[in-house]
Amino acid sequence: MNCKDIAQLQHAYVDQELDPANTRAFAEHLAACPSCAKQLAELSAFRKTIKTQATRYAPPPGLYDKIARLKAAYGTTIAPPSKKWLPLQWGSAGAGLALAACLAFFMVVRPNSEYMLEQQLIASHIRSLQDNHLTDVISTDQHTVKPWFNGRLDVSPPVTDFSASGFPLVGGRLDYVDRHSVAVIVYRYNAHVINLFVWPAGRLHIGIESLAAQQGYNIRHWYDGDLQFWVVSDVNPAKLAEFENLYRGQNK
Amino acid sequence: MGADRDRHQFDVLMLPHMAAAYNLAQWLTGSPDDASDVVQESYLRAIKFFDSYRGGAARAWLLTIVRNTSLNWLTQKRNQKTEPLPEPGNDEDGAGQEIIDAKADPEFDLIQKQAAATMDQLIEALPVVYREVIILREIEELSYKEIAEVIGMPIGTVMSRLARARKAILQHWNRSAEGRAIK
Repeated sequence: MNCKDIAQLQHAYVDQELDPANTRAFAEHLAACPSCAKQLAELSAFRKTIKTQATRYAPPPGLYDKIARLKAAYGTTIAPPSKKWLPLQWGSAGAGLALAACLAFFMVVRPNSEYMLEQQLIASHIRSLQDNHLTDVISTDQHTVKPWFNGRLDVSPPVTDFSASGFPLVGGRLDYVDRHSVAVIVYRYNAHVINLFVWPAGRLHIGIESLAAQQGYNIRHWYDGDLQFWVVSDVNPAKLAEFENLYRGQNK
Repeated sequence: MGADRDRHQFDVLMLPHMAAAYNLAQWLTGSPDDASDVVQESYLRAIKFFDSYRGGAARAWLLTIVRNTSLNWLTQKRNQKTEPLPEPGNDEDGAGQEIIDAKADPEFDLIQKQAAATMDQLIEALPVVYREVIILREIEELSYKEIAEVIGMPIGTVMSRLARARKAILQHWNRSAEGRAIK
């Protein structure tokens, strides 16, 4: 990638809309080219300025009730949802119908994209264990890991070493989740690896908290300020909850 | 039971996005009263056409309706005043061209004289086709794909409009930075 490519792709890059290959090439160019890096930093900073300075107009107090009433008047005539949501045939026995209704509801409140995201996080976790790709920067020093993320990503996740509590910091790496680059902070608990994924809160639209145990892995998810956090590990759920509390407590 | 579930689905999927709907409507219509009317009309349409919702991002689906309702509203209003809607033109060409139109907007002229425009004033001064992508991306944080869905344009157009809009705002923002510093 040359400087001209960078100028053309910088908006897609700050919006995390580049594919992994281009994101990587872009990041490599930035690391080697101070002038492009400066331009990109300016664009990222300006996006934050827009976001903090532009008004998000709030609806007047009565509007929600008006719409709720509007809907109540129409409520009984709402057509059934598309068949896409219904994995089972309607019209079977009562039990089947109830099950289908439950499934349809379940799929609506828990969108497919979220399930896919969890799958991707687990895949990334497994990859990190297998390929010797656990860390890009190996350090038990939080003051080394945190600055390493700066300039590589537009997020600066809090990094704290929790050796004293049994969760030593191992390092950090960049990873790609849902076509976006994300920060990963790596910890250990005994022989277990804990991957903590961090990216801006608003970027992916995740509806609900997930504590689902998938393929023997545990996942926890939370928001803090402008960031969202996903932690994946094979440590037991109680320990993972302990880690979450520790991390959230330390970084307050 | 079926109707109960549908009603519940609509509540779960569409009602949480009322703040986003209102914000977009006020940015596009420029008036709180118009925005309230547009949001109500949009929800009415959303209720009527809920059976055409095929899953996916509920917010983008709702905002598509809000956006189209807002633009219809603007067209009706402008027709009364016999003013045409701003045309997008061919935004793939002439990337350096001035898109904040000072002549068409006396208020913006004033801003330049004061040399201390607020971010809101700069975004308001953008033609609607640029303003909507800024609001959808920077305030509502939709992805390019979702924005493409809402405005009914290819992703490439979303990207080029966003790039030009940011560039235009940035230029004027820097120009008026001095004025803000003096203030």
